[in-house]
Amino acid sequence: MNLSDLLPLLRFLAPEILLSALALGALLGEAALSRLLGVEKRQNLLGWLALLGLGACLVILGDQAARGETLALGRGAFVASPFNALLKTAATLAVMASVTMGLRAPFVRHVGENYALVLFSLLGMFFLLSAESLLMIFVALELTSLPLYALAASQKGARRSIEGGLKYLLFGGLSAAFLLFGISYVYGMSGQGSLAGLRDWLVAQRTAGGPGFLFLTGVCLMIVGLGFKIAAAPFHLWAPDAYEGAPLPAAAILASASKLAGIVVAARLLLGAFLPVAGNVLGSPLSWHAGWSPAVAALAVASLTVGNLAALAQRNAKRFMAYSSVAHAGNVLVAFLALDASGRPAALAAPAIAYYAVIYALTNAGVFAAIHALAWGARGDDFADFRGAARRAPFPAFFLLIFLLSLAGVPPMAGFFGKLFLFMAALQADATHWGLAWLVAYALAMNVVALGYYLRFARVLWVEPAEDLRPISTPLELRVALVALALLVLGLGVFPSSCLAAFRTMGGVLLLRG
Amino acid sequence: MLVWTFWISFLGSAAVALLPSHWKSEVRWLALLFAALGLALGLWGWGAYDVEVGGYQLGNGEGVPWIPELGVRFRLGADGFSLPLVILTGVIGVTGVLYSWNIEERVNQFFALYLLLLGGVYGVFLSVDLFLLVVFYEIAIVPKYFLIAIWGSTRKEYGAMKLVLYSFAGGALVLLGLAGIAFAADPAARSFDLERLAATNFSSGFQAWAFPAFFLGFGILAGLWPFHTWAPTGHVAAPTAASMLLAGVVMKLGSYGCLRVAIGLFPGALGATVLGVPGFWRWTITVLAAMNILYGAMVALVQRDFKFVIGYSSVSHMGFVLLGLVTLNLWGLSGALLQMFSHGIVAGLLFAVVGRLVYDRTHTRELDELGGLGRAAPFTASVFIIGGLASMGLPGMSGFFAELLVLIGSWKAFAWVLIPVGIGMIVTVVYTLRTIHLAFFGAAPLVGGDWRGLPPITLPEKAASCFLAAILFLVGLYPTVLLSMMDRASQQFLDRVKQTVPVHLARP
Amino acid sequence: MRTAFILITFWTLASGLLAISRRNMIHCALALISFFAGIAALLFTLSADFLGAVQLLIYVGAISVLILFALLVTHDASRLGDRGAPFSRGKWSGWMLSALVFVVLGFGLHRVAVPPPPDPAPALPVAEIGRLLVTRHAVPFLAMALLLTAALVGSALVAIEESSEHARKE
Repeated sequence: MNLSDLLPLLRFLAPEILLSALALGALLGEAALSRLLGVEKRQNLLGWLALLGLGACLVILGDQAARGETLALGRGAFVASPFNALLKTAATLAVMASVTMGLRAPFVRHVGENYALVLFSLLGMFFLLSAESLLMIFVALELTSLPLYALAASQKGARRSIEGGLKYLLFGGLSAAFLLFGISYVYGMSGQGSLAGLRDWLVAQRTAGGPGFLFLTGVCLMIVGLGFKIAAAPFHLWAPDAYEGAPLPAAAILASASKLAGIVVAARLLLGAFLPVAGNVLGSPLSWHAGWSPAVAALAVASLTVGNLAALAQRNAKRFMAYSSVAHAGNVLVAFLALDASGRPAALAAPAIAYYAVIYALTNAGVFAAIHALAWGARGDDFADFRGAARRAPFPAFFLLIFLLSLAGVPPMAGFFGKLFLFMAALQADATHWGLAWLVAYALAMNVVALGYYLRFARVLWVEPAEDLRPISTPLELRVALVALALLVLGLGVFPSSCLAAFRTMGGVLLLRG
Repeated sequence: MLVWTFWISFLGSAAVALLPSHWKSEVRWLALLFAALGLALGLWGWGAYDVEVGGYQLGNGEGVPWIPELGVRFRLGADGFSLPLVILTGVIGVTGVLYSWNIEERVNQFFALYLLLLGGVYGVFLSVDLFLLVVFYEIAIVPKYFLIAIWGSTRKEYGAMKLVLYSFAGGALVLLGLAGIAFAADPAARSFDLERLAATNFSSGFQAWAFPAFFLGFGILAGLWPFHTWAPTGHVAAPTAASMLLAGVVMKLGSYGCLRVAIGLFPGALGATVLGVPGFWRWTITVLAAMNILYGAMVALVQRDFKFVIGYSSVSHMGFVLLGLVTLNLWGLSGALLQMFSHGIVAGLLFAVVGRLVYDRTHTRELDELGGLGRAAPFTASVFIIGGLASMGLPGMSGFFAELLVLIGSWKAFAWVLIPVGIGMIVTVVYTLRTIHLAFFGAAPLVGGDWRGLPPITLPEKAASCFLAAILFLVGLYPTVLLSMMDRASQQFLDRVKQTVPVHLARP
Repeated sequence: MRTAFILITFWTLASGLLAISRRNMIHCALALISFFAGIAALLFTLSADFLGAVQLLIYVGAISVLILFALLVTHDASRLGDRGAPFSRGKWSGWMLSALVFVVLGFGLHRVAVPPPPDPAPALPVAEIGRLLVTRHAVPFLAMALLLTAALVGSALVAIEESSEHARKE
């Protein structure tokens, strides 16, 4: 292999290479500048450099998506495709919002390390979004999560940050253990490391008496691990503490980009590799078929119930968002079950999941950015601290309203279409018998509850009187970020097919090749 | 051109929101301008609509593809069902702005939300695509919450939340049906176009569950008994313009959806046998509608709060609309349509009197504490009496023809229902007269002294009241002005319904 | 060989249990080292010599020392003993859950038809492992390198002392 063979490879790996360089650059920059500049200046300078680099990443990813070429390396260890490039774009945008939030609010002295961790985590998500092999999925998940553990605990003056970070670390470690244990069974039984290979093996096993109990146990263990990652109930216990304890920019990543990557990898595994052992949950429980579907259905119902009902009782904005994210995990899991009686997924399922993951990430990034802007002049992040905030800072309060309504599923915001497509996919799966109507009806009912609590938060901002009328100023870059995210959320809502069609043509198949 | 009504309202909403909040007078005039433009376009549409041809007109033709993956098109238009309601929306929109002239707090936000709600309502009436209709329906929900929660009175946050959750629950049912429709037809012909869907012959199994989903979903918004409880609390809590819009127009969204979507697309379900009862849904809805009329009137009779009387009378009057819809004959259908329009104006006028002309001046709505108001405020009293008489269905007023047609229609379809409906109408007369007596002619109030010091009625209020009263007389004396297009549309509707599905049209 | 395997398994299990149940942190750490060594021995009995050697070198050798070192540096060793109960309130549900998982897995393992091991066991020379790491598994290998860097930076960031004025700020 000579150098000219490597050049095309470089083109496909360019975003990852650029990100690694950025992360290491941030470390070096910190080392070089820590004596010369104060914390605020470094925070600002390194932050802008990181934003610049991420912007370059966006350009490269856009180029990849436009070219429409695909590349698969090392038996699915790394797959570059336009579909993946679009997902990475969304993750990058969410992380850019987080970096923008942190530009003027240094919460640690070691800002370079802080930025490096953010970039490493994004790099992990990039790998995760490109991973189609068990090994790579595990490594990439760890690369995504480890920096987030540290970021969640980085507000060391605050007791709750330490507590949240520790909880997140312990639960994350547990989830990694489950995932790894499950992977070892799956790999041990099949001998296949790549997702496409696994699917082919499973298809072959159909005639050879099935993959065996142990394999299914392995799949279930992996579901537990993934359930932790996307904060599906009953594996959500870490989320409220971690969200509450983490500084807002870190919580934003937890709730947006990290969730996007988790949802996509879960879809790749379940709807891609493990599709032949899906079973189904159509109609009454008596007619269900064994497989991972009943387990995922249990997670979906539990998440919808716990997330929506617990969110009603929250008094802290971050904990509230944590439970909202549990509820949304429930929503998205509904589309995972969109399989007909013969186990074929609905045509709309994969595009709907991808669309939902993307707009959910963007919306949540927006919510946290807006909360951050409002928290500027508030004492804390309890609801009580935001009373009447619309009078003090109408600009971020307006955008927070937009994002909250998108989460609640009110058109023309993209959240409405996201939820609708998920539920439509579920109904499409078994359209002749309405096998999943029970689940969709339950999800819709829970989403009525959801509107109630999102409006409760909006009421705090817009209806309740302000005790303190001093205006809160919002820095320009944060305004730009809010406007950009809101335009995306509105634009993808008003023109949902722009995104949906792209996902449909690129990602109708979740797995490319081995 | 007609489709510009909602663009203008949305544009107006944005424009008003961007004005600084202390430019109060500019904000009001701008809001009035945009609302009046909507009304003007609606009236233009009334003139331009060709009644003989019928069907959807004045829209954007076949529309443009919006979400091609699902066959959703951005298609708008109006027909004899929706055009009167568009005009109604315009009328209530303009008079609502006039009655809100006194709002001082957060004026720009108030009118921004008001115009947003108005735009959503226009959009629902003008959508020819079911998906689009549902989107506009959902857009119209959230502004209601803030209008009530910020500028309302009496348990405003409870009322607002209840109203919004009921609306959203109705919306969820509609969404379930919508998602069902997407996959009921074969994928190649997937479409949400109401014209095309109406021509589709859905399987009876699908109709059996899609019809109740849509009818209940929209029926909640129309105040269908026993899902009406949001209406009185919400309307009472709302500020005047919002209660006018809610009772006058938004409840019609519900009945319009029931007609256009539930009955229009699944007429077979009305006659279908469910639980062994032939025509189960038609029976059920007839009984519920009769309950609406009777129960609403009875409860209105015992209210002590002036505004609750009007709130429950709305529930009662919406019963006539729902009853007329399920008669499935020309009299009943046209009567229901005329009642939608008539009650829109009546409810608008009555809520305006109670909220703006009485409560904002006397600061009480307790009927016991009012009394003798007629002498101190003759204008208020006369306007309320006109509205009250129209509400009772006195000849010469708009309510007369509407209720008469519904009664004829239901007598032909199911004569027995006239017994509870008749009782309900008598109770309506009683509670209206009781209210007029207690509020305007009764003994002088025990508390609060006499009413001589009340602020005078302002010019915008006089103009709006006279405008609404004039419409009541116009439609009452010359109903053909609207009935011609309603009749034509109903006739076409019934022809189509009979043609596509052998509906069980005999008496149940 | 089979007897050795079973004996080592029990030794490893016992060490693991000790590691989580002792009150004295030093004892826990020592039990953990014994556990690591047990794993290495298990790998040797399974003729995964290379992995066994790696386990010995990295876990028994490096990581154990690191843990002990960290314990001694960060805390007053004499007070490590009285740190409250090692098990919290939820211990019974924890035990129940573990028992459930054990039963399910045991049931699965009992039922599964393990294919007979190929004879002789396939030997993967170290050179081949190295070659695979830089060819087929190059991307995961690189990602792991980045993962280690990130872990290092992250733990440094969490562990480092910060002056209180900045820590309180957000």
